[in-house]
Amino acid sequence: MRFFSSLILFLLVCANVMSYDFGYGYEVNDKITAGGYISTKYKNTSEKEELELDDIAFLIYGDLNDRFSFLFELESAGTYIHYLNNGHAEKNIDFQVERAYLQYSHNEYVSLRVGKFLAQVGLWNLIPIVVFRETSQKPRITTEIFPRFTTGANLSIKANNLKWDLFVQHNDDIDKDYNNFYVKEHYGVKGSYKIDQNTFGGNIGWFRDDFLGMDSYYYGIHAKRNTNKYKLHSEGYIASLNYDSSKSINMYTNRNFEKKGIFVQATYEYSHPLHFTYRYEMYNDEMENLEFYNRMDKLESINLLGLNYRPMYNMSLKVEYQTSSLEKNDDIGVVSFSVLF
Amino acid sequence: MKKFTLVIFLILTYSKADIIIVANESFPLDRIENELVKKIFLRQQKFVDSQKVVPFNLSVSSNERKSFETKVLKMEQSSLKSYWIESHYNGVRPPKQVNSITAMKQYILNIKGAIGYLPRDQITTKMKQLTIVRE
Repeated sequence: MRFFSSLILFLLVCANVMSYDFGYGYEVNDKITAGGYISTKYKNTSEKEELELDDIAFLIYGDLNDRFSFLFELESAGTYIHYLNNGHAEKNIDFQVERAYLQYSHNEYVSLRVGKFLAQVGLWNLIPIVVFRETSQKPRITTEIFPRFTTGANLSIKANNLKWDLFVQHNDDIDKDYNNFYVKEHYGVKGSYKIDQNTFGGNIGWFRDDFLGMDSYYYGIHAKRNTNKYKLHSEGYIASLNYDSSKSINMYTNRNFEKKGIFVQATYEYSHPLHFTYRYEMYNDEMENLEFYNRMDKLESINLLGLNYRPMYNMSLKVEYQTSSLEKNDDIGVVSFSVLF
Repeated sequence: MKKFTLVIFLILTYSKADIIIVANESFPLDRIENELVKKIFLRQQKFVDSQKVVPFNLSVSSNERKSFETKVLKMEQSSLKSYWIESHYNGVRPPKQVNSITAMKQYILNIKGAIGYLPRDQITTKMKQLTIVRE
């Protein structure tokens, strides 16, 4: 807690002493900018009640010259957790590389990014911090189907409103524990089309997880509409997983399983700065169902209702409640506060 | 004759409150669509015809900037703020802000690829006039 108060104090001093614009980062000079964010949450399920300093992150970015730019971000996730039911606490101030890349912009159409970056899959994955999201709870398909990060290269090609991203990874991740899969190889392509307030697109990809002894093909589509008053956002994916016999750590070697799901999310601005969000998600994980229910086709329905109070765009207080139709997954109540500086 | 007609046409159609999108002489285009101006000022496009372009804004309180944001960017202040805060996380800064019309003129005249906006009575012959934003 002392760390948290010191950080807030530090930010206030920064805001007063330096030419710092809250939410826009600190301009070190004409070319370099620094910033960061913090998120905290209170989480309540039937089994536990916890207070968490969820994320602390620092980032620095800038232009090296007309064509080269860079971004570097360190994050500590799950920094401090206090379990309210038994009084225990966990500390984990272990900063890891969230993003670290160099970008070369050839012209208005072509750019190349090399390093560790957010995998160009769908739309949710590209807004990785709670402060910008409508809910602190993530749709399941955004963490179960594809790797969240890529350590490799991403080629972007833009033509009018159409954008293509081709990405490739053929090595270990930078800070490999800080990804949702132990990715050794990942290849994919994303196409997206943006017109006025609407974005549509799709992805196809393949990756290999050496730890699980598994490879997976995945494909999906996404759509989003943003207006001043409401936002609609939907993504759907199907993944086909194959566990090989030599390395697989589970009992289902040499078998194929499917994961699939879709979510639809609607956000309405009731009156500034208060937003309401409702999300419905359907998800089916054949292997998980086989383990828990001895059948593969048990569909999970997840409903989430949330309220987001955003007095400034870089600051967000969220209250949300999520229910699941599967007995193994608890209903969850969350109150979170996040701020970008 | 063509030039003369164009000058007469511009004089007749100018209004005192109009602002002009102007650029350094090195700017690769002679005319520009609002959609492209918007992409440049939102830093979604950093090159035009493979040349780096450098947008400049007047201060938030200036009438020219308000007019520019309403008519060209077609965005309210609150939407712009949220856009730039989100861009900050993605490693993108807003265009550099200059404090006066005199400073804007100096940047436009001296920086390669510079693009900005000025009231019509501040235009000089050494800058490119790309389009008129009508009041």
